[in-house]
Amino acid sequence: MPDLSIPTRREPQRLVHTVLFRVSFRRAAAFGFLLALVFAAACSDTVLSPTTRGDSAASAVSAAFAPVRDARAFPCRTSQATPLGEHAYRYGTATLYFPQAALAPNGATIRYRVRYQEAGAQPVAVFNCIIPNTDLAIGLGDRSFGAQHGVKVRVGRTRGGVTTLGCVKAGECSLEAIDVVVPPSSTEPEDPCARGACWDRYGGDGSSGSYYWGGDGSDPGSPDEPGAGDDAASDSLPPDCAQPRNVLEAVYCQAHPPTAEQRVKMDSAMERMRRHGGPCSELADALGSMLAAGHLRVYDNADGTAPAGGASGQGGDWTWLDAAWFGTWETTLSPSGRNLAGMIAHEMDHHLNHVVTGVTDSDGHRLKADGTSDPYHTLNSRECAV
Amino acid sequence: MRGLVSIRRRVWIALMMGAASGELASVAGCGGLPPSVYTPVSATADTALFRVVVQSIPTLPKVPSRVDPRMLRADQELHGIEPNPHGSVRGSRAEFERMMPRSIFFPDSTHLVPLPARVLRLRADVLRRLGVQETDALADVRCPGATAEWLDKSPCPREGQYRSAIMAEAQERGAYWPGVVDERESGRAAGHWTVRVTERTMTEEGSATTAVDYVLARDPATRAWRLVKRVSLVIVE
Repeated sequence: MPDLSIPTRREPQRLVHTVLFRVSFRRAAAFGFLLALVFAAACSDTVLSPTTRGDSAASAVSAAFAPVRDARAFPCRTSQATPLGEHAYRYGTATLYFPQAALAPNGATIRYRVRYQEAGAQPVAVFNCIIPNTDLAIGLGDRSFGAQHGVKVRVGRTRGGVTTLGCVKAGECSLEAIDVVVPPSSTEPEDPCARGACWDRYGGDGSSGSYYWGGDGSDPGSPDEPGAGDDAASDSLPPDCAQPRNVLEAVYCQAHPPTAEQRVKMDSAMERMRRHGGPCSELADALGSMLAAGHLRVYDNADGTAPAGGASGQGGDWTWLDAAWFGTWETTLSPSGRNLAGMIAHEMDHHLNHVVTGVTDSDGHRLKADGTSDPYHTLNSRECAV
Repeated sequence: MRGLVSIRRRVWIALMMGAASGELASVAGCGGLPPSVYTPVSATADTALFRVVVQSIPTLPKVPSRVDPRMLRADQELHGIEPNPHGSVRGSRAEFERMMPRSIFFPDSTHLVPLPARVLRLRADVLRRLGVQETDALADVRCPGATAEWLDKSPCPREGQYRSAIMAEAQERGAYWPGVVDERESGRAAGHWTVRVTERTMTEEGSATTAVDYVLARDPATRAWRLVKRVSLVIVE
């Protein structure tokens, strides 16, 4: 029976032990190690203990992730797989402290995400953070999370079994999906925080219990509490499909990942797109990242009653495709000149917000010669229908 | 249902109060609903807000906007999921509508806020003065997505294109789409109001529907609304 108690500020060691107890098999151990990396980095010289309060940087984020009490304190939402627990994920909050030099002078912040998962599997852990919008802060975040930018991860190209997924983009986290590989380790981490406070793992004042268990929504401090954690519910992935809490979680749960056959067809289409090169290759990579994150879902519409054949978050990280695109028109062009690869390009154009004045409308659909909108095609969908 | 009745009652109370105050009034949220639901309660404030959003809807010379003057509720259906009465019926319209909340992409009359006739009249006046045609956004939903090219497109316009739009209640906060954009609190701190708009490009080949948050701010001196930004959230096509 898992320990569902909520750690309080008075019980820091107990919290850590609870985490380590749960992280017991290989994949989870890898997460524990990575978490330790985070803690260790947070304890280093570059991550400071709170000493001041109330400057603009903190105030810019404090309302969104209340309460943040320190100018250098920035919040993270965390989701941690609990394979041995009663609930699939354990959700929590944590605070990362940045040195003054890493803060943006104007208080600007960005969303910063890191996701640990094996390709095609559910994430082992997800961190959704708000951090200062400076190169130094991003670098510190990368270091803290064990990330190394510049290594593109494509489907089937993960190394060591654990893929770190992350994205950093001004304003919102969305496009630069993922780029690093972190090998797993079976080494049980020490508790770096025993050496001193680094992460405020309790958020707030500790009284509300900022760690909570996902699943039944009845626990104190659960994200279902109005005003307490609805941000966390939205931002911590993956969702609890027993109780999806918003439309995107519902989408994630309702549609299904590509079947093995659909996956083969999709891989084949992506390969054709990469061979074609140019923007098609970029769009295939974007889909690869989305597949790796499990965010490409297929919607079965065999009876043809659904009023749409595809959907995509614009700047978001969700895409749906009608299963019909894996059938007759996998490689054959439809009457409108589309096939599976073309549709991949179409939805990825939306995903990447490819809007070009004079070429597309505000949604990203190409303009026809007469100046009207062509809803069949986006910037690259025709060229990439290979 | 009880909560819905309660909040509708509160909306009406706010409408009554707002007629006197001339301001945007807040309606305290109930359990299970967003913390606050706001509705523009004075005709003057509503008209000003409405005008700014209408003027901000992106159009093309050959794709003018057509706006439904009615108002969608900004309750949790705009942010959450709609219960699926048919269970997990795969491949059905019900399942799809569970995936995409009906009130955003497939609104019907049950999702409308009961606006006073005067507010509706002033909204219609705004459209007339701006040269924007009215549309029945609830009828426009019958034009299926262009991506599903195998579906019957007879409900779509036979010729000419337009961008159908219908707005939801304004809320004092920033843009919000779960997992994509969440600026509710920072927006609130900045004094921003956000109007979610369902925009649907209507073409002979089918529709493309986008949920958009228009973030607005009001100059405290002139009380004029200005568009801070337009955030596209999700496209269904």
